[in-house]
Amino acid sequence: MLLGNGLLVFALTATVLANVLFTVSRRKGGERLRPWAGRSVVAGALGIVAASVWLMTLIANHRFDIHYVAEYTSKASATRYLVAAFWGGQEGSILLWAFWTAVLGWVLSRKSGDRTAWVWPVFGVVQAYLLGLLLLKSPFRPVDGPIPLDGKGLNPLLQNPWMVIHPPILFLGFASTAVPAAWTVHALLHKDWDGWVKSAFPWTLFSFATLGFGLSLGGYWAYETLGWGGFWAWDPVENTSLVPWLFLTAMLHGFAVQRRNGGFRIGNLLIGALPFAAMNYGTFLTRTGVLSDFSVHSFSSLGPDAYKVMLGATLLVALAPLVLLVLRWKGIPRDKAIPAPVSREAGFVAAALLLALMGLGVTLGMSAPLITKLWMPKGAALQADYYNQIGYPLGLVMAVLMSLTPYLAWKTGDAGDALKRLWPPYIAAILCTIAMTGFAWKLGIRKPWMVLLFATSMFTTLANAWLVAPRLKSSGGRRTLGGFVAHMGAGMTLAGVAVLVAFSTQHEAVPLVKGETKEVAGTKLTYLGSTSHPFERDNALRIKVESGGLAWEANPRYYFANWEGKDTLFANPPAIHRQWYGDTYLALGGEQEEIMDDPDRASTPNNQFSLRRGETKIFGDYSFTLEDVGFDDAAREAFKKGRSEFEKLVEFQIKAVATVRYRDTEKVVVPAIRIVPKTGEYSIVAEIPGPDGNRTILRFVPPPTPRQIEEVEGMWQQAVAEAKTKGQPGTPAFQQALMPSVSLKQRLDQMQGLTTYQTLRFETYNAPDEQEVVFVDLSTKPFIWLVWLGTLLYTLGGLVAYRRRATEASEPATAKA
Amino acid sequence: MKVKAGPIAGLVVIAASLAFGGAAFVRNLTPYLPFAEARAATGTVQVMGALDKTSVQLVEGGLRFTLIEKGTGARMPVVFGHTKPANFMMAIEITAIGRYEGDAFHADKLLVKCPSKYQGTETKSYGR
Repeated sequence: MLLGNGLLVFALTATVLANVLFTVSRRKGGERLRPWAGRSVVAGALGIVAASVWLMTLIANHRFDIHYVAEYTSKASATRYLVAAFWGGQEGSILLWAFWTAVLGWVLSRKSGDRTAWVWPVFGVVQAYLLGLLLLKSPFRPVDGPIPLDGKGLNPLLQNPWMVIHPPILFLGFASTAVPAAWTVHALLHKDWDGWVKSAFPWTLFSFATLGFGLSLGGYWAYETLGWGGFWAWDPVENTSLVPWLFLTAMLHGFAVQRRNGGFRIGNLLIGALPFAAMNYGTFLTRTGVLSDFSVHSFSSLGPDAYKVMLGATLLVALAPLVLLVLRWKGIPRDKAIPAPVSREAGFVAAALLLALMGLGVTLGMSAPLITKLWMPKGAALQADYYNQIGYPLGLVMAVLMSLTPYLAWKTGDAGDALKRLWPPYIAAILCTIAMTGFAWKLGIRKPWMVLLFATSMFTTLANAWLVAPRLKSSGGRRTLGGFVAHMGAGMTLAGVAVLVAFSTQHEAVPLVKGETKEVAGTKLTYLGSTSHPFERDNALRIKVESGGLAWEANPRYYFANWEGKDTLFANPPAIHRQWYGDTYLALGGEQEEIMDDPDRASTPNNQFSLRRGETKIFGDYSFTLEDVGFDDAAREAFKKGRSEFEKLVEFQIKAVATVRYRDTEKVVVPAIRIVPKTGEYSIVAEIPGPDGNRTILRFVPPPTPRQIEEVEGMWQQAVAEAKTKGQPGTPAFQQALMPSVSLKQRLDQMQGLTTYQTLRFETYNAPDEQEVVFVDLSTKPFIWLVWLGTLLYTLGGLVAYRRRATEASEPATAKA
Repeated sequence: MKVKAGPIAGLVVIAASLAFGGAAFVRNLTPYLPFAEARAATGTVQVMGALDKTSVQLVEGGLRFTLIEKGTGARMPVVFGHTKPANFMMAIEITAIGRYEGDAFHADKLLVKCPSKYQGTETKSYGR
């Protein structure tokens, strides 16, 4: 606590000091303070890096006296998930943001030459803000109350290799948006009308590439592990990264124009701080819980203090540059951006405009719940279709622009010449489209709008590829490839989306009976069983898939994680079968059966039954006898000593001793429930005899929690109250009204009986069961690799352009380029 | 006055985009409505209620269940043409997004709010 917060305070002090020293050093004779300001920057950065290392150390050493460590890690966490836990929670992810900010700020102080003293203080304000936020909601604060022996662990959904790589890259992109914003504010404050563009250009490209790559990694992660079949859902959390990326992309085009002819100054100053502002706004929306009724992602609030600080910062970041721009309006020199209606400049300006419009449109959409609260009491959400409807026409126009603009010369474009040179890609794109349309026709799909999008975006890809090819030969050519490669990628991603929308098929909740083959849209599925059992992390269903002359075994994962005291089914990774023409995507169709539903039902996929002590039940080839039930030794001792002694136990077990007979074999097994009063109840399953090659297990099901009972009781009381409005208790009207809810009362009695351990509930997994059913979702994703390859290409293009612009920025200032 | 053509064209494009975007915005708004109003509403709306756990039926291609409105106690049968969400039975509140047709509310999407021991509640969405 002390060391961590101490480091944060130290970093904050150094940051403020750097700001003051830089500002003073700008006065006459103040130059000698510059080295000291530089050292303060390094000290501040080191403070943040040290705080990050310290948090990592606390996590690695299981220091559960620290709230953050207890909340997001446990002793059982694998090493890589200890790393992921660093950013698995709110406070840690803000520290990650601060970490990258510190690193970037240090580089910025090194790379900005004489103007460091002007630009760094702007950046320093951002760094100070993040440090302030961290001190307000510190990752180093101790736990309230007694120190737990073990932590809660990272949410199983986040225990995923992607979680190790995706957030650092995304947050690097997030943090880097502050640099162009700092340059913008600097330009406005100090009337640096052209120099800032040259300096901010490589930073903006860096931001574009990292944020874009972070976005595509997030999409790929969702596709590969969450099992809902998509990679993009227009959710606020996704939009929080998308909007800054759109603004950054718009900015790149504006920058290129200003670097060329000095035009578009006001446009660039207007948009320069927008990526950072949008990122802050999105962070505010998603981290403060204002959208929690409207989004897929779960948010926990950072608390009212952080809420106010974030709201203030968001408003400041969004409004301050605008106010400055208005104040400086008259003094900004204006040069003509578009020399001729048909010119590369015109295409670039149009691109900047359209991309910014898309960014604003998405911002409007994600703000809908807030905006509509002005006139609707509960607010209203927007359907995701809104984004598709505004995105489609913009995407189409941009695809056309991306094909034509690269063929136009700067200053005066010759449309005739461009069209002449565009023939080969145009013909090739048409051939691709004819092939696609023919394919669609054969499958009976009629989506002309998607065919149009496919045609134009294919044209984009090919037109840019035509320009890339000859440039690969010389090093000078390779230097200027970035834009073309990025546009190839953008076209490819759009084409991929068009194909997916047109051709994807999806069949949800398909029931598969074990051993029987079911045909779904030409694909034959046979459920064979499980690789192990659902309480083992790598358990997967074994489903034989036969499609188009190919056969394979798909293994969608099926695993119950111990989470918050319950055995919980989280989104399980699907089985993806990849071919050049697309993926076959097989995912678990939601929850298989409800354990709570009916304790005595001996049905699929598990036998569920309850036993009293000494009782025997027979299911098919199995018979189960409950011999005894009791505590583990330590708990029994403690129980004898008295209630207070028992309550001191950190954990205890309730063991059931059961005899299982399967055909000629007999085995005594001891399934148990491990109860950890602080965190919950976990099953310890027992292996029972079964047919060869099948791990069959018996699980002792924990009794319902008081909360679950309360809930059913509440529903019953409500049903009674409702029935009373129909008639007096005892009257036929009352009886009739209550009839549909009688099962509630039965369940309530049953649950109350279960809590006293007079009856124990069990269930089996993988026991031979002819009737066993699983539900799966089957979908096809034709040519989805186009989307992935496209995102890689625009990232690569961004990096190539970054190299070029970084070289330019480090060259001494010359006359206008 | 040829010089002014550019800005004017720009303004026209912006105005057209705003009109287009605004129309898309209004068209896609899904207001939260009480059950009684949702039955009469045209277009997509959202309703919120507690799950009647005895009503859940798994059917091929999806599930059927009934929501109970807070306060009025009114009941709304819901048909959901997608896979049953994980932790569905633990839901304390469900928001269904869709429209009332025939004798039931046809939901395209569900937001399921579950009790979460440590972070208050947790909302997840299902369907498209």
